[in-house]
Amino acid sequence: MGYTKPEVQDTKVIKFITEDKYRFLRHVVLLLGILTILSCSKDVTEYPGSFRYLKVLFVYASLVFMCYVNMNFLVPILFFKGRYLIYFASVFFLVVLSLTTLSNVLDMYFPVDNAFGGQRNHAGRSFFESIVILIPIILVTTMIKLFQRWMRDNQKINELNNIAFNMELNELKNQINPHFLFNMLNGIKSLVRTDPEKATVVIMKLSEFLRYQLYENNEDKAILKSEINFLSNFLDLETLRRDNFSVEVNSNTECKIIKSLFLPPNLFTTFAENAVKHSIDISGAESYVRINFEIDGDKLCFCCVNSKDPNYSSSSNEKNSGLGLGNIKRRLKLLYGDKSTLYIKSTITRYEIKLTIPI
Amino acid sequence: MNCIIIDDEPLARQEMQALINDVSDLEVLGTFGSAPAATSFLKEKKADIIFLDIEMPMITGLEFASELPKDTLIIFTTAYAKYAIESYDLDAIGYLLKPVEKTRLEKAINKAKSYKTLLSKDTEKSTIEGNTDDFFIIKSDRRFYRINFAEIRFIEGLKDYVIIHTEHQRLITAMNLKTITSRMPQKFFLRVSKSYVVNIKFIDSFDHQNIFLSDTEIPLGDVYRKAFFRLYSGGALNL
Repeated sequence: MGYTKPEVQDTKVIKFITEDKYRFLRHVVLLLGILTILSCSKDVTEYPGSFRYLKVLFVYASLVFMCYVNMNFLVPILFFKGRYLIYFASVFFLVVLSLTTLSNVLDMYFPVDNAFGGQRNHAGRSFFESIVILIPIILVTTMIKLFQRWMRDNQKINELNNIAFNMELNELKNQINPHFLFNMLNGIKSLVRTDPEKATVVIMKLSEFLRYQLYENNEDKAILKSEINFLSNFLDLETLRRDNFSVEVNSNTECKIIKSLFLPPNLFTTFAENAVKHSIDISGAESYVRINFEIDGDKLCFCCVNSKDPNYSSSSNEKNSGLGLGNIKRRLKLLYGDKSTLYIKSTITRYEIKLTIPI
Repeated sequence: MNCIIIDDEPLARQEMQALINDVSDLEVLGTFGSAPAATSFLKEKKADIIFLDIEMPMITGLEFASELPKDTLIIFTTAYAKYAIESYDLDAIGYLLKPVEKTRLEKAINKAKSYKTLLSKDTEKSTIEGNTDDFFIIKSDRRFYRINFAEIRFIEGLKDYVIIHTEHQRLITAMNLKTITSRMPQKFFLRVSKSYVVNIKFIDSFDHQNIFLSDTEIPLGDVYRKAFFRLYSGGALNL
């Protein structure tokens, strides 16, 4: 036999106890279960005829009442908040109260005859017994609640760990690519010789680019303005590295909004990088990347279009960018759930993505 | 001598051309943005040296190099340090890291020039006629040379030849590195990379990447590094 993980496996039983879709069925099972146990109990079977069913009904009703009060009020309000002492006192009080009410009701409906008189003595003795029996039954429901909560917490912790892991992965991925940096320095070296003015501009762009990658990238939120600046710096720098390559970064939104809007950093970088990668034209013909930001009500719309060379495809590139795209999709899902939409349209000569996120 | 430059980045081509003109009299026949563009040029003309970038779309420099004729001398230019060892497997003359340092470029070009001269000689006739424990007898250009092992600084494998570097001369022989080392006393010579065998007597210093013999710098291969450290330091270094 193989070595099994010490974690709790997702078996059917556990799914039945914890998952929301079984909620109704769970309650049916609980209610039927209590009824079956009661019907078989000695206390009830001693009664003759229709009294028997009536008593079962009363006892059943009070027991179900206690269980549900426990599960829906006492456990969430007291037990889960750590007020254990008050919780146990309340359970005890609840049982005593219910039992007292029950015996009063029974007194009212059941005529006092000899047989019942004997029964009463018996019932008097069993009042404490009943408490001793009922409290564990109620605590079983507490256990179920506790177990559910524990399982859900476990799931949450796992999910959070996954997110943390992925974020770390992304951070690693978004670290400065040394290849890019050294090629950039080499290009600047060339510009210093031929066009010192331009070299100065490029050094400034590279500095801003690095500053964003080194600092703002690691913050939880970045201003949209600096995100846009980063993308246009990145694309401008890429134009130096290729012939016949043009880029555009546009936004029709007011500067004020762009400067005041905070977003998680690096949401768009993967798309821009992929656009650059896939717009390569093997014959050196015109290629372009165009990015547009638009704010529409409570939505930010990011659109990235790049040209494609039908003759160019690199399997290793596909694989890498596929990974990046998968990561960003997952990140968007974690950040926005179903509120973000990603639309991809690919033709032979053009590739377009449209990302809409709530703001 | 002439050369071509292949690099997908326009500025890198420009920079390389300018540097070559600065440090040498090489004629730059053309610059190309991709390997296929250079291939069609090379069908018409012949280049002595190719300055070749490695990371390029579609066909990388390494793939391109493996398809080149054997007498073409390759100098890799790249921002990636990790390709260094692989490039020596392709018998590249040199390996330049971008941004390129002038003196390194100069060295690489000079090396290429002297190899060109060596390779253009009638090397097929240069053979090892015999050896003792102390020397080889090599026949080259219808003359015999006695090469004392103690005078050999290092031996370099290049394509189908080995170049024996002594204190005074260089001799090229059609033979592979493995065969020649098997005829030499093992305790003086250490294999330090796929293409180099070094006489330990001439080693001045070394680090993790290179071995220095006065003004010569020899790359230390990943596979050979551990054994070299252990053997050369007599076990004192166990890195």
